[in-house]
Amino acid sequence: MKTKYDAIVVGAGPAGLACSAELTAKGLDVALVDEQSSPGGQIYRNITRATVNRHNILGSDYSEGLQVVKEFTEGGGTYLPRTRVWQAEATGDVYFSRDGYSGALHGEYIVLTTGAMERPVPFPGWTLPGVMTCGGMSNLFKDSGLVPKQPVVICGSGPLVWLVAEHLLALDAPITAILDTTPISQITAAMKHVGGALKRFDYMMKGIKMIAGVEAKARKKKVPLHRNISHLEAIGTDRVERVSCKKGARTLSFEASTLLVSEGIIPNTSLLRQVGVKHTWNPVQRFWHPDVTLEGRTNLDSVFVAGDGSFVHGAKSAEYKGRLTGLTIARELHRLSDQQFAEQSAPVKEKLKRELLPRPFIDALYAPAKKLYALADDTIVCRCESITAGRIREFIAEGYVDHNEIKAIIRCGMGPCQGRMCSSAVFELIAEGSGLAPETIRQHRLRPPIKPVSLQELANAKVGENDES
Amino acid sequence: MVNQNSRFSWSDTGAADKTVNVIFEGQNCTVPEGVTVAAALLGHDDNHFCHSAAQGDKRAPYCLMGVCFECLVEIDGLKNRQACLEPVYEGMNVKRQQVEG
Repeated sequence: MKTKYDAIVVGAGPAGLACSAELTAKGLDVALVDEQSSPGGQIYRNITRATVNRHNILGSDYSEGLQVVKEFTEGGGTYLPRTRVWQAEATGDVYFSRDGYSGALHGEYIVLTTGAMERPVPFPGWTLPGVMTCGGMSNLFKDSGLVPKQPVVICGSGPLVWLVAEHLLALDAPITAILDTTPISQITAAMKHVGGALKRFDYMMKGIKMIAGVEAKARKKKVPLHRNISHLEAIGTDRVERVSCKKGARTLSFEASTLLVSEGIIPNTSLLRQVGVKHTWNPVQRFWHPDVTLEGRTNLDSVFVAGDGSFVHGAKSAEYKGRLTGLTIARELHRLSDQQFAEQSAPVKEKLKRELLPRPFIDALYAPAKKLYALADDTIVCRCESITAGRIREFIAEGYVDHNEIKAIIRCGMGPCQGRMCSSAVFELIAEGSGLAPETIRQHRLRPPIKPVSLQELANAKVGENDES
Repeated sequence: MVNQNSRFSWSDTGAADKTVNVIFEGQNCTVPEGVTVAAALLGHDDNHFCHSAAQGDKRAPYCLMGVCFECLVEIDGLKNRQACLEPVYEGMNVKRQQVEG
């Protein structure tokens, strides 16, 4: 297996595909590494194999992803599916695991297009089987066409909630309630950005139509739809059986075999943090994102970040960001003159700028609610180690204001997920308990291997060999 | 592929579609070719996939995108496989991951 490339791109979503396609189009040697078994990332998951029926339900926003997949495939870049990167270094070394074996690749540049993930928000009962994210449900449908056939509740805030509700209504899933947790007050806060957003009237109308469509269909099917919801709780013994929540002073309760939750999308920065990319705190969306330029440059010369992993801007923006990074690396490797770069990047920058117009409005409207992390003491925060908010607060009260220290003492963030599911909440608990400004609180560190690799696999690793056969 | 134990149904897989046989906890289950192990198990018997290491309570997929590690199963003797990322193949032997003492 060839191990040396001009660039290693990690993640085959729209950004990784577009970046790789741009690089191969310039004659550069690219390896696109991805965890999944087919290209597309989460947004275009399973796109090359999904049935016509799935394409119909998911609509043109999904199907148009075929274009960028085709562009990459025809470009002839090396594609390594089912390959999990467990360590990457600023030197350009990338260590991976595939089919139970580990190996290493080297790129003159590495591009991290690791995408986004659902913001993990703990609530009572969120560890019960049957509680899943809206994005997870969407992935399950894209992968396999599975649809809930028993009572399902959808609860959360953001476009994904409406999108999944739209799909499940179209599929006649037995929805028992649609619960919107967006605080009414955030509509007012978002309105100051509406001017910019309306410059993308088409985009705004699409969103408004989607929500209105869900409302109309829910009314027709007598599916209760409630707004300004808080205090979500999943109730059951071995799996979720009921869902309760509050609407003002009223308590609502619904039957549920499946509870789908979504409180927004955050950049998936695990690999970025392990490599040592610098991050910045965003006070509106309350997430850390890598400190990158428009072209995806980081504090490390050979490491670029593109796509939703740099900041959550959606699939089309991710593709444009990937292209810009590809063009930038092609210039650095002297495959494009400065003038060619300027000519080729200008239209992409223009499209990206247009795509970003509605984002300040969306980000303010669907900002995490102020009380989202006002967790009851007995709520499990660290799923892997079953550590509660109260236990974490005890340590914060003693002056531990660094997740890394808390982890060392009570293992919070030390399980298989390595803090991916708890670090957002632990961070908010530290901010709440210490009164420190969030940007001054240390981020949770990830140490390699950032994916589970057995000791035997590490011992057998084909690292450092360069077998060109 | 209809299974009473699952909360999900295969919405668009016809009888003519290709299937593979996967052994889950010693039981044969027929599932569509190309799906992930997570989808196969959720469509077959979505009871649970593993137990939490700390308290042993039942866990099942939460994120289905490779970050929560709640879908860990044993596949052909290899532990800690993320069911949401592994595609099924004929004769694959899947077991719930047990907590090690």
